[in-house]
Amino acid sequence: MPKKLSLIAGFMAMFRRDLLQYIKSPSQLLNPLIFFIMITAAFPFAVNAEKAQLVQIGPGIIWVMAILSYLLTLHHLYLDDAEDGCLDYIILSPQPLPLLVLAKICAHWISSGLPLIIISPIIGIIYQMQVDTILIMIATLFFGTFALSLVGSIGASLTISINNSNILVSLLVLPIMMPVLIFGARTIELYQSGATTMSGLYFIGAYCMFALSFSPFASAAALRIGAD
Amino acid sequence: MIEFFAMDYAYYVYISFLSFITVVIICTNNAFKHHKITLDRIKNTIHQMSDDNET
Amino acid sequence: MIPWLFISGLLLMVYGIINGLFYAPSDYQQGDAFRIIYVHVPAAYISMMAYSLMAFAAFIALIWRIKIAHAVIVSAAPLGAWFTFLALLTGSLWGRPMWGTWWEWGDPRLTSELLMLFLYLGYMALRASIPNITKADKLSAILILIGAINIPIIHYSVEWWTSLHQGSTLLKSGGPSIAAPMLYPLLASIIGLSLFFGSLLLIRTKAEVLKREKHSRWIKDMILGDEV
Repeated sequence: MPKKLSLIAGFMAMFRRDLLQYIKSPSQLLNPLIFFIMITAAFPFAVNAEKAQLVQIGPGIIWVMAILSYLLTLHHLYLDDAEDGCLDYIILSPQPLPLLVLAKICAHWISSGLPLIIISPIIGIIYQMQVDTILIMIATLFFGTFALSLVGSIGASLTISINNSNILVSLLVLPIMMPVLIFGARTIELYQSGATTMSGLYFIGAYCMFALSFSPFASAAALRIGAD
Repeated sequence: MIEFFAMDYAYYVYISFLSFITVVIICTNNAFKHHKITLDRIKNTIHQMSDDNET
Repeated sequence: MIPWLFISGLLLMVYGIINGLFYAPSDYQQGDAFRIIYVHVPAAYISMMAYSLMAFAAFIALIWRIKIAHAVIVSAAPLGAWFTFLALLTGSLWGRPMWGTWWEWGDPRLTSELLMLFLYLGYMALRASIPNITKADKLSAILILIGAINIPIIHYSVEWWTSLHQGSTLLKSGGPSIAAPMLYPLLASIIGLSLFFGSLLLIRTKAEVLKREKHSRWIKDMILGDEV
């Protein structure tokens, strides 16, 4: 009779395993980041690189590119496990599936969202942002990327049984991510023009909490159906 | 009754009404065609089955 | 029942449109361009109603596992997508003379209608890429439910963001703010289009059920019975 794990232990075990997996394949982690940097750096070449203009378009570009590079990482969330069969064991495990899904989402956020947040000040400097603007940007990215992980998890779990699902995931998830994008980019812009920003941050936080309340359950349901 | 092309912005109004009618026609056509094709297909298979049974 | 719905819907719609197009007095602010309301509002209304219907059916299908609900969702999706497209097109045609631009990004209703079109397309793309019907049913139902958070966003976005879009003409406290000769054709075309939509939905659902149950006994009896 195997020892029964507590809920927290199960969560931590899943979390640690996923983190280890991400750490062991650094190229998976780094490639989206490099993509993010290169694309954002390509914009000033393509459009007129005057300072005022860069300040104006910077927040929007940073947010769009953050979402794009995030979409590239989504398929690691479940697809790798589905391919080598681990996913079946995860679904069959006695721990509640939404909890394990949440652990996977957290690990995914730490491995893809946090690095993005860490390098975002560099991009901010490229786009001529002030220091306080960069702080606001980090705050929006902080909540925003977590919401992206949560929403993306739904898209990734819906498509595990499909081959070549990369573009499909983007198609499904982008409209749902749009409120995050709008409020994320607008908040930074509002701050630059001197208006109040807290309402935008509150909205992103609220969206994040809202996604937190249903995403693990929806993803778990989709995984169960998909793995049948 | 209002003159046909005398109203202001006549072209915008007429294009939008035309597009409305087009969409309605497309939808109707699709629905009926879809229904007819499925029915025909099912009939064919059933007839085939009964033919097979007779021979 | 289908022919009755179809014919009454068609008649009401024709009455509404002819009246709206030719007989209603022109608006003192917008001139004759306001006549687009007679196609724009019904189309937008149908696009939202179709999505709500799909979300409701998805809920029923997932909770009580009623098979016909899936058939309803499948049949409603293309219709809803067409009318969403129509609402966008006429909205843009209306925007050109009134706002001086084909497309106004600052207007939340226009943009969320666009997102709704993306949701419809994403739904159909997801369905098309899963070969197994029952799996496709369940997974896409989850997607529909998730996307349903978009509907309240559409509805409340008018209050959330200040915008160019005029407030709703019909749903105001203190009675509709529109003169009777303008109102009746509008109501007629909305109700007519709803009935029309309902009849097309029934036809499509019937076909879909026939397709899904093609191996069952009662269909064989029904078709052979028709021919005797």
